[in-house]
Amino acid sequence: MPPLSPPIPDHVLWDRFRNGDRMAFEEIVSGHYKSLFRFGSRYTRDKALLEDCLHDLFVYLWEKRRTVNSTDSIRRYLLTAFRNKILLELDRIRKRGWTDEEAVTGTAFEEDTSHFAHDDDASPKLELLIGRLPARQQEAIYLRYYEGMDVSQIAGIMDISTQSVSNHLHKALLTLRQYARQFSLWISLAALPLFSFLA
Amino acid sequence: MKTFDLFEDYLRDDSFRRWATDQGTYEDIRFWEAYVAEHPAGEWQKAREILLTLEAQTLSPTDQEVDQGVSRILEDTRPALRKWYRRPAGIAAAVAVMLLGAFWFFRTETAVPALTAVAPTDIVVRAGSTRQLVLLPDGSSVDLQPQSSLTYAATFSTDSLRKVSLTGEAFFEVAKNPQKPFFVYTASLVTKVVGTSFTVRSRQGDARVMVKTGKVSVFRPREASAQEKNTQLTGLVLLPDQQVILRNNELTRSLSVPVSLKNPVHQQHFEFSNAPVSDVFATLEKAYGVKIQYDPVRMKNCYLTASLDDEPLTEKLNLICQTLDASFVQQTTTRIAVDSKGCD
Repeated sequence: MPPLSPPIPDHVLWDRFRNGDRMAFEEIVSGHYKSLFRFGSRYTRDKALLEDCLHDLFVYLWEKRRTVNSTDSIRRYLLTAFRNKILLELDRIRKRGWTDEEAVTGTAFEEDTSHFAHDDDASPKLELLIGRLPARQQEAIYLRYYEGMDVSQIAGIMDISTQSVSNHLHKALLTLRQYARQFSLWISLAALPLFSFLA
Repeated sequence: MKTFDLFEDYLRDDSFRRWATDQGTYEDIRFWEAYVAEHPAGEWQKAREILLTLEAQTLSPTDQEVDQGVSRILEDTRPALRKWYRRPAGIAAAVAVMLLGAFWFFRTETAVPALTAVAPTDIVVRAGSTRQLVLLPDGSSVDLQPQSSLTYAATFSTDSLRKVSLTGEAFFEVAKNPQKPFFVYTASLVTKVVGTSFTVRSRQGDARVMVKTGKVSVFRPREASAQEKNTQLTGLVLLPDQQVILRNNELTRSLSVPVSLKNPVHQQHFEFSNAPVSDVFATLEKAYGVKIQYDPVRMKNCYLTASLDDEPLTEKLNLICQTLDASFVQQTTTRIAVDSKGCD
């Protein structure tokens, strides 16, 4: 069955937004808000700050729509702009001389495990494993696997070379593979008594 | 056919990622549920676990927070002309279903949905620069938004199914009839209901359905013939305040509806508690863009307590008139006359 309609290419949607099309803008905002918020929470766990950064970013983009660059990946564009915005805001907060402890969590997730709610599937071990990866590796695998960005897009977002991104991903995957091997072992061990029972 | 071997292969697959993180489209869910049933144990489990762990390390905004954030952005960037969209203060969050039909090519190529062959016996209602109320023979009401058109067969009332097709945007309140499901066709999406209220909007840009009351099912036109054969609501089912968006040719459900996308009738709650009938009529006039003529002196002692969220306009008027021992006549599409002996 042929597709009934072609997907709207990002650059078309973006160009419509740049020409002041409200529908395109609304689509972009509502389509990316949640995932940007989620991504931003890697840098700060202050929800109000995240909301403000998102608000200011999108209002800025709307006001400057005529001078905004074209893009073929709206998500990459927004991830990059939003990441810069948050890092800038966090930097500003730090420079103010006082730190809101809730707002700034520089080294991501190592300590905070209270938010690991209802994970029947994710064992605490994997959480710790990923949590102990260096922050850049965590950021890279998040962008690669959760957001689905490719290596060159991640390089653009993190403002590092593609080689560095590949290295981060490679190292993170090595760690995860070790874990996966244990996981398989654990599964087969768990299944063993069952099979011996059946036999 | 995709082949998967290591957990990395799953992680690299867009469809898998969406499914594993609970953001799957209808197609994703169908595919992966079948896949998992076939492969109860496998590397996909590790991949899923990794994705869920990555997700658990972030904060997810609640639907309400997303709603508020998006609304705030849209309102602070809204051109002055669109201000009527803002919801009146004091009205509780309304539940609305809206379908934004999203096809760039749509505007230029054809003005008629693909599935609608306009037969000479079809009735076509077009709204120009203002919205227009359409009362269908089955008692359902359609608030047709500007620059939109609605088509239905002249044999609508005797057909075995209730079918209309839409370009543009409309708010539907469908008269209940479980034996005769009501179908709204647009080029990209078909919405099936038994009795409920929702808006369908099919404009260039994107496609979306939002539910106000009751429940609806949404599917692609290629599934329409199967759906027409039964009266069940199957497929992607939406409940109040849920919406489905057609994005990149796939259906995605989300559990909230941005307030800014709801038009006036969706936002309106028709809850009356010992309300003077003049208030009731004023509310209806405003919501549906109609003029209701009645004798305010004779009806000055008429009060109404009712919850009319789930009924089409005709049904609302029926219930009101029954309660007040009155009767009504629709004189034109926008003018309704109510006759009452008073309530003394």
